[in-house]
Amino acid sequence: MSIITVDRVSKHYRLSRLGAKSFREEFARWGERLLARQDSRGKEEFFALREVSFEIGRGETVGFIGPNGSGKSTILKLMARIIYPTRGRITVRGSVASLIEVGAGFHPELTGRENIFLYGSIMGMKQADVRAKFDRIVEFAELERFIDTPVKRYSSGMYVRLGFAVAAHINPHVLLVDEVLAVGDAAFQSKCHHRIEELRRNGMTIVFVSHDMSAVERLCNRVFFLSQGEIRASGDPHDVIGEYYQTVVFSQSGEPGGDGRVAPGGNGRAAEILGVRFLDRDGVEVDSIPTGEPMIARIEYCAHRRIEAPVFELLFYSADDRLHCQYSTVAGSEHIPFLQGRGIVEIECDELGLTPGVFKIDASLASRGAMAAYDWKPRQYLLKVAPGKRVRGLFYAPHRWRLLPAPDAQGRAEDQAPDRDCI
Amino acid sequence: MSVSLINREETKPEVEEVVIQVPEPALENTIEWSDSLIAHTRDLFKHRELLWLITQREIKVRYKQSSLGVLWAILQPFSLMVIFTVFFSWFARMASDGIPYPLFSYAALLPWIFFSTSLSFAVPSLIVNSHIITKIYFPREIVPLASVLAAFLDFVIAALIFVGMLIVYRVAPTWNILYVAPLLAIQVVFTVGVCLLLSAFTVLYRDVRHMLPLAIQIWMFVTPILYPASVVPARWRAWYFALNPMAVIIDGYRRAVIQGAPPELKYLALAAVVSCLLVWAGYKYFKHLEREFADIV
Repeated sequence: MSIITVDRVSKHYRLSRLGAKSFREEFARWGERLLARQDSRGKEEFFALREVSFEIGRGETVGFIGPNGSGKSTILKLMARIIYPTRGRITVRGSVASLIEVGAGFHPELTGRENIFLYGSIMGMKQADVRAKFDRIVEFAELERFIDTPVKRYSSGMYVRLGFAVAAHINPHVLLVDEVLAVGDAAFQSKCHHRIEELRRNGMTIVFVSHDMSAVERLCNRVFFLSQGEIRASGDPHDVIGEYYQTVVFSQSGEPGGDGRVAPGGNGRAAEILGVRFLDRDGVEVDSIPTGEPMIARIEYCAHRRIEAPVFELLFYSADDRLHCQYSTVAGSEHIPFLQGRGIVEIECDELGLTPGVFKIDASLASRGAMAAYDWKPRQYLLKVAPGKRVRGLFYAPHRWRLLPAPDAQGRAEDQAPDRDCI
Repeated sequence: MSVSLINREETKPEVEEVVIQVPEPALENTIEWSDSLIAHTRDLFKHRELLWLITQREIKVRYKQSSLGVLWAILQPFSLMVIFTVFFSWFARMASDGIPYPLFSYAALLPWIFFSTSLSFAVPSLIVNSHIITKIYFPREIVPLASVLAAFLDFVIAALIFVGMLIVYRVAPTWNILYVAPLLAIQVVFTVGVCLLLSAFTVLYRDVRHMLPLAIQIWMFVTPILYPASVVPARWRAWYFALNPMAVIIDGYRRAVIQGAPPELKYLALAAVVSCLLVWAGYKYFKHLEREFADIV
């Protein structure tokens, strides 16, 4: 039996009705309506959700993903009963606690202790229950020393810790979490994740909204992909996240600075990079390669004069402009003695280690030990890494597993079965 | 023989097992948007602890950093009484039905300040608490109700002074003092009705908030606080009492406690009916608008 039933739910906002009005505006509108002889309502409608239906069973952990403004938070708020659906019906069997914003119920003038009781109660806990769990909450928040200090004197980190600590100790049937885990320092974040994991394993139904795909894939057993207020895809996290990357992340990434097919010569450089292309295992030119699949990158160059000891480099930057990986002919053992004229160098990579996302690529051609490069194309090329191998973490590290026999039999076994390695 | 990539369930780091009991969902405990006032009242009753905590918060926050603290609850009616006595009784020679003017005015100021404080805190309360309303669900009426409850506690504290004054002025209570209970009950119902109605309305129209101080002031002058109800010309008195339940109630307190007489029962009954209708309509309207609070506030 499902614990949450959402049946053809729509939510729309009349933009003109958003926000409170004054009588004067209202009179002005009436006046306009009388003069125009028509109803002005309805022309500025905004659909946050359109005819969304789904069910969530007990003990499921469900994630909602989608671009900003796709309706994820609206769904969460509807299930939390904070807002009301324009059409349709939502049924939640059991108690609900929502973590839409950590510490939303805190009052700055009250002490940590008083706020624990107040916030706990707002979240639906009985006072006796809060009292019983009080010490555990304080310990989780690591705020023993400051518990009788007004929270207005707390740092933002302390504030958030206290908020999550209370929320993590309510025992609702359904916990709704909206992107709040991205708070606090790394240690506290991992503590929060552990706690969620714990709750999940103990059979709590958890629904959460996040942009953190690795968290969604790790925690959820089912994922909904929303776009423009509609469910685009739902089901297995890996597949849905893949679809999300395909339709949203990749299409929004824009074009690289140019395809790089510049006519050689002309600008007085000694050597130029003409283009970078990516090929899959079959040697077909592609713009996206899944994680863990073979990648071939071809750099096309033109050396207008003889260049000694050239160094090629490719740098992969993620969407937030962090350098994720570097391929360089210096790092490898290969040495190219010189270049002359047009040609192509190829990088072959058995298993692509990048995790899904869009990477912007720098290509450079320099001379070994030289200060300035002959040519440097910053963020000129693009590679979309699609979800392939199921990977958790920042990158996929190619590796092999091997089953070894017990230590006493090891020597013999290795002789007899040398080909036990397998992925 | 191969070692397959271990699936996600098994790779979980072994965290110290803490047993958390997720209670079996009671299937009748269904969250739905309901239209029945009985269901709303039941929901409110379930959240009674929260009502009490938010009331405590209101009081604590109000007095926390003031050095006089809870004395303010007494100071407000008391200082007004002193000023009224000096200006209206000594200087302006205001009639007071033969009652010592300090007693006469305090008996009215006490319930009036309960009413006006309730209003001035409850009416903007939903806007003041918008940060919670847009983030967490709970029955929204708790917010204005807590303001009324907090004002009531102030009222109880200030009433202690009144008891002292009764002793000082040697006012002997009669059985008619028992009328205080129904009077208070009607006043609370009336106050809650007005607060529910206006607090919800304020979410839609912020003007209400600005109009409120003026409205409270005017209301105070059309209620027998500075003057006895007997100064109102007899031909208008029926309308005076019929249109303003607060006038009946305040006049009633004076009669029951100081004069040892019953209130104007005919008008009191009317006030009771009006108050009940108001609270019913107010609650209905509030719950109807509640669905939009988080969208608008």
